Amino acid sequence: MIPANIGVLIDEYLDGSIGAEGMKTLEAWLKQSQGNMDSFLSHVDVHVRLESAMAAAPQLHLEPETGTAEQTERVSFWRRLPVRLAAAATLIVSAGLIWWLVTEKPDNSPKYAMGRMIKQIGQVTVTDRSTVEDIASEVTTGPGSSCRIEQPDRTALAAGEQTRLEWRRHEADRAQNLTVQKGLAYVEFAPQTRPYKVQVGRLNAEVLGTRILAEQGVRTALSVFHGRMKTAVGNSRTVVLGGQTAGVDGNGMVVTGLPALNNQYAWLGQLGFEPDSITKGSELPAALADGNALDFSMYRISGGDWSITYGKQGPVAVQNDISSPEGAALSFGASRWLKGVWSCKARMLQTSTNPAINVAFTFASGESESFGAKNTPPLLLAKNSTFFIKAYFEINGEKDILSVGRLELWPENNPKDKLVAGGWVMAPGSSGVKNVRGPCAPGLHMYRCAVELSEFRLENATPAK
Amino acid sequence: MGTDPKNEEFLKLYVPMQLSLRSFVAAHVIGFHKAEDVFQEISLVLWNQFDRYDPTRSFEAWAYGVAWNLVMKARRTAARDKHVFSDELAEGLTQRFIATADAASGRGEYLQECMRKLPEDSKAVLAMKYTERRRIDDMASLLGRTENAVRMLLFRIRSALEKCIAHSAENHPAEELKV
Repeated sequence: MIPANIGVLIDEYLDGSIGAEGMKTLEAWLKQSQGNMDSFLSHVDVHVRLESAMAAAPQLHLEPETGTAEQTERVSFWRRLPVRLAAAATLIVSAGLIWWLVTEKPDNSPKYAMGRMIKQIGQVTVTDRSTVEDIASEVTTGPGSSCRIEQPDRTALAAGEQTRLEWRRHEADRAQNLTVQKGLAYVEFAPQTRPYKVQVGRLNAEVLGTRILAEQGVRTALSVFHGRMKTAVGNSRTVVLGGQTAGVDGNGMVVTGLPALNNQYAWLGQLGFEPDSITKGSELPAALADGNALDFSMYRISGGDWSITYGKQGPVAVQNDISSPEGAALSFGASRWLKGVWSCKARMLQTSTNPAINVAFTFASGESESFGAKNTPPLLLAKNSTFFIKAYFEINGEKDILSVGRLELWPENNPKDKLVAGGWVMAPGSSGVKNVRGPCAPGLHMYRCAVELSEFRLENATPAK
Repeated sequence: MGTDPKNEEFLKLYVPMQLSLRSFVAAHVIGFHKAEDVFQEISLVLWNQFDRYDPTRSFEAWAYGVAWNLVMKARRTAARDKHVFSDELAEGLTQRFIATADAASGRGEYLQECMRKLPEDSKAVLAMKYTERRRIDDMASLLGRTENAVRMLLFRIRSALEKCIAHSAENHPAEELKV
């Protein structure tokens, strides 16, 4: 039986907070008998096994959906009543203007709060969802049905079959929102002075004068055909380029190249759009496969605030957010690699306390494991330092063991000053990864630092069969 | 790395003793982060020097030999701030560790089973400590207890698990754990 005071000292010993006096007391107790030593060792063993069994993978998950925000909105309604009354007054003026815009058109197409019905195929229901502050329409289409609606500013929306969406305009600040609850929506946004906010499941985007396709069904995705789209999932933000699709997986946002399947836009032809021209002019990222086997047309992010640009040398990724508490993660390509040498160049833009950059490996489940050298010299992680990171990794498919045999870091201006770490061998159950690993996508995790990453390489790589 | 036969051999020998090696380090090096650094270094040396391992001898003995040398190095560094046991005690602990290593190696398989038998509030405390990695003062504030009381609670939970694992290893599984 271990006395209570010794129990407290052992706990302090395990987390490193024990003082010199505590050490003396603990040592004296341990020296009393072999039994005490055995009890201590057995207790340490349980602690280590708990560390291993319960350690979570870096938490790079998404924020829960918007329940809290909705609650806050309700609470604040009465406090904001005067503002709302002012908004209502504005609404009367604006509604009159819109009524004029809508009614002065010399056609007989049905008119709705948010625009004109240009074409309707099959069963389409448009319901006025306007409130005191907003004007809004909900559009619902049945099986085999679709429709095209245009706003006075020429923004054109096509709703595919079995779709439910809502357009809403807040008249006081002229904020505009499109929420696709299910189905398919294609939108050609007119150039506006304010961005349109689009929500599809957990994906949020701000678009300005662009063409997009929103999908909420088998998958949640936002494709952009032209221009730029600021896209966010929870705290993760990035800019999606024309020719790319942003989707969501279990652990964050996945950005892929737009599939070249023009026939999937054929339904738009019936609504007066030109399907062949939809993808024309898409600014597909150039030089994506750079001969080093990694597919840079796809990347995953979680946490952080990213911007990713593509050049001849491959992508350059900038993570601007040093405050992201759970860290920020980036990986390139699909989870398909069993072995390779993963490297990149990093430049520290800004740092907070204890910054860190780890190499990371993301599995098909969306879970990831990351590894970093604990004794990284502070100079390497100081603001404006530029250094290289290289990791030798392998996943033993049969045993599902992830090995990172060697991790190297060296400053750009002094390649000989190399820090070597590694020797990690992660057996199933020995880390926070709960699912079968399988092949991985290599990447990086950043903690408490803003970083520019470039020159990504995957060499000597072996893909899964 | 990896699929060549030599590295297959390394994995086969190293993986089963990985946690025991961690425990060995944790018993000698104070604090999670320092212990992790030393463990990382040991793993790297074992990996890099596997060529020097004589397969006719015990891998565990070789690995603990390497580990002991690196632990001693870490102890010398830490000795400056008096946060190490005396050499005499460190050697005593190492002897006891090796003497009980065989019995300890089978414990892992019972841990999950024993954790399931813990009361829900104990599971929550463990999650705060090991999954959320909360500091003791943070846990104390969340649990409305003093820091010492939280340390004592953690100690009691680990002790309950220790007993359960020992019972299970002797084929007397405990029904429900009291903390």
